[in-house]
Amino acid sequence: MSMIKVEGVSKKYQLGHIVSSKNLTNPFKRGLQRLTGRSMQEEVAEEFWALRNVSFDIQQGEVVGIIGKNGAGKSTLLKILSRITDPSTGRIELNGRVSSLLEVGTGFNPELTGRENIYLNGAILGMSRKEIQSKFDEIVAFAEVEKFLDTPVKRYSSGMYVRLAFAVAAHLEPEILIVDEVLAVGDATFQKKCMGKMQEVGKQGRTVLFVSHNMGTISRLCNRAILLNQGGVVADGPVHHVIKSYLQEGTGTGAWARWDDSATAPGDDVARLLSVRVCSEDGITSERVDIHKPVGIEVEYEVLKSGHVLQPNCHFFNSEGVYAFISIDNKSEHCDLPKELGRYKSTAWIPGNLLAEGTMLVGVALTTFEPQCVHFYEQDVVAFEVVDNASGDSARGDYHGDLPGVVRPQLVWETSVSQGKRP
Amino acid sequence: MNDSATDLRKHRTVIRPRTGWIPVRWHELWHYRGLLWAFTSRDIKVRYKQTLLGFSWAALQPIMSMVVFTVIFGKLAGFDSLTGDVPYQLVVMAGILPWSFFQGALGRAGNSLVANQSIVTKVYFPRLWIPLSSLGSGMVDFLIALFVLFLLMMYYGFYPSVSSLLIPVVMLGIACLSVGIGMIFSAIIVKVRDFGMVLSYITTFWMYLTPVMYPAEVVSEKWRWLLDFNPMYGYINCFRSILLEQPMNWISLFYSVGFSILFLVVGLFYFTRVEKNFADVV
Repeated sequence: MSMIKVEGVSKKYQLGHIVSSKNLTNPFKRGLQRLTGRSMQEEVAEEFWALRNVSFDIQQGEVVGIIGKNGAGKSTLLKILSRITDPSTGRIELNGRVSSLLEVGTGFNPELTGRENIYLNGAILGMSRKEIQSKFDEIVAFAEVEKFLDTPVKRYSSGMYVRLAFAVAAHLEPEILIVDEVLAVGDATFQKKCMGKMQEVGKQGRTVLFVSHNMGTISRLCNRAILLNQGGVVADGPVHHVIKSYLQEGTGTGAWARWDDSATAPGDDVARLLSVRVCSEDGITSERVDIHKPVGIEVEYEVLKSGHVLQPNCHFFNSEGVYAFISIDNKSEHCDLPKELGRYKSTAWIPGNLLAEGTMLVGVALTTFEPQCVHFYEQDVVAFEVVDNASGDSARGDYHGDLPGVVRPQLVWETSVSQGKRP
Repeated sequence: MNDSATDLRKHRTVIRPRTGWIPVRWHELWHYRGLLWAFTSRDIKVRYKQTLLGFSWAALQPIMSMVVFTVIFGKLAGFDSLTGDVPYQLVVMAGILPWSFFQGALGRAGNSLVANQSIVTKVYFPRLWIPLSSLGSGMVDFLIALFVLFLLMMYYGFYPSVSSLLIPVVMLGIACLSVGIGMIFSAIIVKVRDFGMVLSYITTFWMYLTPVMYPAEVVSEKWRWLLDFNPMYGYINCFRSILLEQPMNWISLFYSVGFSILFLVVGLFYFTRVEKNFADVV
């Protein structure tokens, strides 16, 4: 049955916004300005639609990821679904108890002990005292804070704090769970534990709505995703499909980004970025790259002020947000000499058989190292996908299963035998 | 399967834009009643954390105010001649206690939404519990101070009589008044912080207009009827009469109870009407 039914929901905010002198609308201030001859300012309300006509339907047991850039309306949607704020138009039907976890440790008081905070936080999240009591030991064990139960949480390490806060929330038993990016905290082991807990919730037939910037987490947890952009739903469907359109949207043209107007291009008075391109050996712009073949990141920039040593550098992230590596141009000819005015084009070549399959997001920067100054740094400016056609001669060999990792180099293996017989 | 489906329908929630006056959702308030205890115990526990004297402050504060007021108003202004056989100290203390409860509860209720904004913007629960929970911690202070007052009375040879049992009734009236006004202010302060300052000036000013540190007899007969329109006058008067066995002023008490009900109702309706915007405007 349908657990969450969202029909044409929009949300309008009034934004304050300062205007001065001639554009004053307040007659009192206008008069005052005329009298005193001093220019005045006033705040004018401007409408901003954080969500526009959003509709979707979520069935029981679905684990749905909500993705989108910052400001796409994800948080507003969650706030409306968790009833923190009213929609401006539209209608939502929720069939079942809802718990929302928009922040870890909501209502934690630093002065209170771990024990006291479990009860306080539980009550705020809608648990009865009895319910908390019955789950108390489980919560404490999950959070691994037995020894510090009677210590004020202000003396906790940030890891302990987060563990305790997540543990309380994870032991809620709602039919609908709404979670916002809480897994971005804590150490790797605990994150794994949280993920396990979340998967368990999904498997129990409960409905989960999950917002994250981490595409890896989304793709592992969810079977469906909804992509928001500028307050509207732009894609809704199987998770891998939606993530792909998000990555393409997030990077503009995908393999090629360029700025036609140098005034708005990233950069400062020393240098400006003109374009970034992912290309193959023969110079063709390509979004998909064969895992065997080298791939080039071509950065074109214009120097507006001579006399600076400028070194382009590229930053590589996989779709899970893992910082794979950085490469700085410190090997090419004259790279350490001050640059004259003009347009420059630098290409970084990543050898074949280095990256793992999957999407790579590239950030591009131009840096002067002595004294250190970053002229521009554009994150996620281009993206490309490394593809293994599984012909058997890559590092994958004849194995067709899941191969995690950021890199997948072809290594030389040597095997010797010291005891036993050769076949 | 049918069972679980009906079970889920039982918890159906429909969210849509709300406008105009909204009824108070009593059943929901009751469902979340655990919050009253959660917020109250938090405030009580946090109150005197990391102080050396702890709850002794609840006794020390009224004693110190009493000493100051007795010296200034009793001795220097000579008001102590107006209180008859009752020592001025007792009259002042019996005024300070209900007044500081009122002032504390009003101040905390008024600023409660801002103080709890991190919760208000992150999780849903009936917002009414926030101002309502601000009464508890002041009540603990009041009880401690009341104990001190009893000791002081016995020192001066006044023994609490059976009519002391009426104290809870007076306190309930004060609680309704403070939380009623507090709800209105909290809903305004959440948007316009200036009213936090305004509230603190109003309460200070109000204290001087109320016979807290001076006996009502200071005000001349001709103007004393005006005091009836001070919602706190009836309660403080009643409180003193109960403890110090003086004649009751029923008319002023009647007015006070009326004001309490009025402010409580207006507060409830106003708060419920605007609460949907709190998370957006805080």
